[in-house]
Amino acid sequence: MVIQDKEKFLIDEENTIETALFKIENNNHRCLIVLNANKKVVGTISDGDIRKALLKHRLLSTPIKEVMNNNFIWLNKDSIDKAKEIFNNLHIFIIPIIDDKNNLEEIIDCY
Amino acid sequence: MRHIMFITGSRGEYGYIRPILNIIKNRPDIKYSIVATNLHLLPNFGSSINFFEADGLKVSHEIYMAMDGRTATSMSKSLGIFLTSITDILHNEKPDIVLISGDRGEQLMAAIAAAHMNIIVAHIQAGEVSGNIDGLTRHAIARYAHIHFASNEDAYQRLIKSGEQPFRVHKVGAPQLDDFLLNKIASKKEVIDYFHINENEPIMLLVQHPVTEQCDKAYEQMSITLKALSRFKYQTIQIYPNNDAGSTSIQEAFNSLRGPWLKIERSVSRELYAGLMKIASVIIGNSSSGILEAPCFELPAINIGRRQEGRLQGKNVINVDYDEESIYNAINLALSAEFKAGLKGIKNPYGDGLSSERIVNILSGIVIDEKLLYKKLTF
Repeated sequence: MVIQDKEKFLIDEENTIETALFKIENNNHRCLIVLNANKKVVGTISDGDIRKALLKHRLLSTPIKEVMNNNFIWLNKDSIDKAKEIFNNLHIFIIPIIDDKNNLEEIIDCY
Repeated sequence: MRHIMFITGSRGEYGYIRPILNIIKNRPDIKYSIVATNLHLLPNFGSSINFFEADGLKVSHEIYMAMDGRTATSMSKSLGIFLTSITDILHNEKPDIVLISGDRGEQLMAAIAAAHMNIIVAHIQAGEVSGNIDGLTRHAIARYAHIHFASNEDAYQRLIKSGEQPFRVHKVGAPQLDDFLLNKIASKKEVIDYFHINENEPIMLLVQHPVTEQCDKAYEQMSITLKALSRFKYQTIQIYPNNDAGSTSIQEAFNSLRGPWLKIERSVSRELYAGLMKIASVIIGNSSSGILEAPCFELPAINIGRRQEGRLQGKNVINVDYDEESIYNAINLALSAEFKAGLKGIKNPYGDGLSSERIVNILSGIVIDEKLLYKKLTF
C-alpha cells in the first residue's frame, strides 16, 4: 500500500536516536526512512538497528547517521511490483520508492 | 615471555596484523597487547574495534586521538595527542617489541616514542613507496625501526639504499594477504545477501580516500570518479574513506551525487571485504588494496591519481588521472573479456600466504641486544 502521510516515516540523519524512537512509536511500522540535508534517501533506521546501537552502549543522543542502515532496500517506479516478494522474504515493513537521484517518491508498506 | 605490542588505527592496518595475532594468540611463549586508536574508535567510521572481539582478541588499550575537523591542522594536532598517550602506555607496559604497520601518522608516533624509550621497533610493510604524506611517514618510521619487514625485493632494496643495515631487513611478503590466500573469506552467498547484489550485472567496488596534499580538491576528485561511474549506473559499493584532511568533502560529494546504483558502507569486516573482492568486476579509487590485495582475486584495479604513485604493481592495475573520460575508458577496459583473460593465474608480487609465520618466527627468535638496539645509518 502507498503511504499517504509520509512525514510520519521520515527523519533527518542529524536527528537523535531518541527522536527516532518517538517517531517509530507513533507510526506503527517499526522503521523510518532517513534523509540527508539535500533531502536524498541515505538509509533506514528500525527498532532493531536502535536495539543493536543501545547494546553497544550508544546514547539516546547519538545522531541517526551513525547507527542507521546504509545498505537499505529500495525500489524504483519500474520495480515496484517486486515489493510483495521482498516483504514476504525479508520481513521488513516499509520500502522507499526512489528516483535515479535518490529522491523519495513514495513509501510503500507491507499491509 | 616475550611481550609484543601491536599498534592499529584503521581497518586496513588491522588486516596487516590480524593473521599475525591469530598465530601469536596460540603461542605460549609470546604475550601480545593491542593498542587501538584513531578510526577504530570512531562511530562515524564504523567502530571497527568490534572486529577484535569478534576474532577473540583482547584490546588492551584504547586511545582516542582524532580531533574533529578533518583538516591538515587537525590531523597534525591529533598525532600529538597520540604521542603523549602512547608514551604513558609504553612506560607502564614495557613491551619488548612494538610492532608498527604501514605508513600512517599514529604509527610514526609510536615508533618515535618506543625508539626514544629504548624499546625495539619492528615495522611491517616497510620500504614501499606510497603517495602523499603517508609515503613520507613510512620512510620516517624506517629511521626509527630496528627490524624491517619488507614485502618484496623492491622494498628491500629501497631500505638498504636509504641507509638501513642489511641484517635488520627481512623479506617476508605482505601478511595481510595470508588470510586471503588461506581462503578466510566470506562466501559468495553471504556477500550477495549482505549487499543485496544483483548477480547478473557487473559489481563495482569503490574505495577513494582524500589525498592529503590535495585535500582542497577532494570534492572535485570524488565528483569526477562518481560522474564516470554514473555513466554505467552499475551497482557500486563504496566503502567510507579514512578521516584524513578532505574526508568530509568526499562524503559531501557522494551524498550529493548518489543514486540508487551507489551503496555506501561505513566499514566491513575483512572476510566480507575479501568476499566482495572475490566477486567484484573491478575495484576503483586510490586504496592500496587495489594494488596489494586485488591480485589475489585476479581483480582489475583502476588506480586514480597519485596516492599510490611509485608502488610496485601487478598486471591487474590500470593507472589513470582524475579525468572523467579516462576513468570511463579504464572501466570499459577493465570490464572487457580480454583484460580479464590476461589476469588468469597471475601471481601476487606481494606475498605467498606465509608471511605472518615468518614474521612471528623473527619476532619470537631475534636476540634483543645492543647490536639490535643501537642503530647505525650506513649513509
